[in-house]
Formats: sequence, C-alpha cells, structure tokens
Amino acid sequence: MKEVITIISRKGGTAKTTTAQSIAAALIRSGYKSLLIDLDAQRNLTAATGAKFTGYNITHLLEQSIEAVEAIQNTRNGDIITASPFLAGADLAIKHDTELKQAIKPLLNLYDYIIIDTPPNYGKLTRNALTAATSVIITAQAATFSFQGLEEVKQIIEQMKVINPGLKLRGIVITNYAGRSNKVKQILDDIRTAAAEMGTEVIEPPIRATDKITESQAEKLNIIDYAPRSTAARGYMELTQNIISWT
Amino acid sequence: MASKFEAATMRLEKETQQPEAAAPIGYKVIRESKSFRTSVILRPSTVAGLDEMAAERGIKRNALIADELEKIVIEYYKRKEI
Repeated sequence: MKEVITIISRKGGTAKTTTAQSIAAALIRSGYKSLLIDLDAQRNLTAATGAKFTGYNITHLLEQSIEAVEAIQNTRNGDIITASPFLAGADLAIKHDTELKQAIKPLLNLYDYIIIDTPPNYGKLTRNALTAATSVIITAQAATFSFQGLEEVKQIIEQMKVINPGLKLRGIVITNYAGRSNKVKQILDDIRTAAAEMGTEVIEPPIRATDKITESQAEKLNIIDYAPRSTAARGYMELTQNIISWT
Repeated sequence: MASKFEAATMRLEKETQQPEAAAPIGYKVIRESKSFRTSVILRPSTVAGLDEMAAERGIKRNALIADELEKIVIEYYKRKEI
C-alpha cells in the first residue's frame, strides 16, 4: 500500500467525486491497483462508476458483518466499495473515529492506492476518512467564497492530526477552472497565496471546466477513459503523476 | 434484521417527524415534461426500498421512479407497514 488518499471539501459542488474517480482511473492507467470508497449517502461516486446499488456496501464493511473483500464491486471504472442511503444515519451509528481504518486493514495489501470520497460536511464519516488516510487532498473552485471553506478544512485537518499524526495535507486541487477572466485568474493567484500561508500549496495544474466531464458522467465512464485528450483528463493525469511522486 | 446504519437512519427520520417532502435528508426526484415540472423528496430509506424493488424487477431505479412513482411509494409503505 502506497497511499490512502481522502478527498474532502467543506462545500458541495467542488468536484470531489469527479476528482476521486479520475485519480483512481489515472492510477490504473499508470499501472497501479486502486480502490475507490464512496462515503457519501448521495452515492454520486457509486452511480458514476456504474456500480450496482444493491448488494454489500460500506455500511456492511463498517459493521464488520462481512469479509472486507466481499464489499468490493468490480466495474469498468475499477474497483469500488459503494455507499448506501443509510449512511445518512452514520453520525448515530458510528461510535469511533477509527472504525473505517480498522475495516479497511485487510485491503491494504491488495491495492497500491485507496481513494476515499467524502460527504461535504464534517461528520463522523469525514473524521473516519481522515483517520484512515495517509494523505488528504482538498478540492475547491476558483471562487470568492472558497477562501472561507479552505480555512475551515485546514482547521479540521489540524484537529485530526492529533488522532492521525501521520496525516499529510498534500494540497488543494482547483476544479471547474474557467480561467478566461482576469478576475478568476486573480482569485486563483489569491488561493495559491492563501495555500502557502496555510502551509500547503495548490496542486498544479488546475482542472479546467469542460462539457466532456458531464458527458462522461452520463456514460458512467471516467473522464480519463471517456476523453483522454480532453483538458480535464490531461489535467488529472498530470495531477496523478504528482501523487505517484509522493512515494 | 436491520443493520445499525439502517436503524440509525430510520430513527433520524422518525425523530424529525416530518412528512416525506420535508425530510431534511433525502433524494430529490424531478419529473419534467414539456408542460409541467414536479419534484418530490424521498427519504434514504424509501430510496433503499426502491432500489430493492428495481433489482427484483430487473430494471433501473430511475426508470421505476419515472414511470410509477405514486404506485411504488404506496406499495413500498404497504410492504413495510409503516
């Protein structure tokens, strides 16, 4: 196992799911074994991979009512442990921050990378994802209100380092980047400055907005395989080479 | 036997005691044609039940919802005797 990477954001709509799916796909293309874990009750990542909504999912794994490998579905987008609508009750059902970490232990020697998609809130699921992770990536858009969200996420990560001292904040991935107006370019530069002041960085390049991502989602295929020459696919491939260089 | 996650979700839904349409957690289902647009919020437990029904019939959940929303919700609640 090289890395367990948790993707987080304080806001919805920052392409966490697309980023998780794309990184996993790019890792597979680069010759690595990767596993996706969907922790969001909305099940966007589950749907995006074309995985079945029925059968074993992450709730069964967290309850340890099955063997860990039984929770894995093989899809044309790679292997995934799917979410469940009953994750909505996770804050009541989960007692400890270490439950996910314990549950995925049997899988660590089966994969090079595990990528965890989280809900856009700071509940027990996100805490568990940060406890289980070796690295965390924040997704954000180059937008005015992103700054407030970034500082909140940074504070959350600092709190989690008490439980998981090895957790590394690797940086911020800018998604849905249009970059045509000077204002947006200025906001991106401001985010780079803010990231440096936070002790982290923007992981280059920003992922450009493209209709190809919407098209790929409709086809239940990741952008890397759907449109490998698109700006977004090339951006995610380059981002993934950065990730591979961590170890 | 319900899993602890299912039990926790049902407890949350019951404690909020809100009608389905006002549930704080849920899936928004939108039905749209040339002349009308309606939406309804379904609770996670309802959606889980719909997934099971769709799997039993060998069709996709969205097709089930699009074509038979009222019938399926009534049938689901009858089945669970809620």
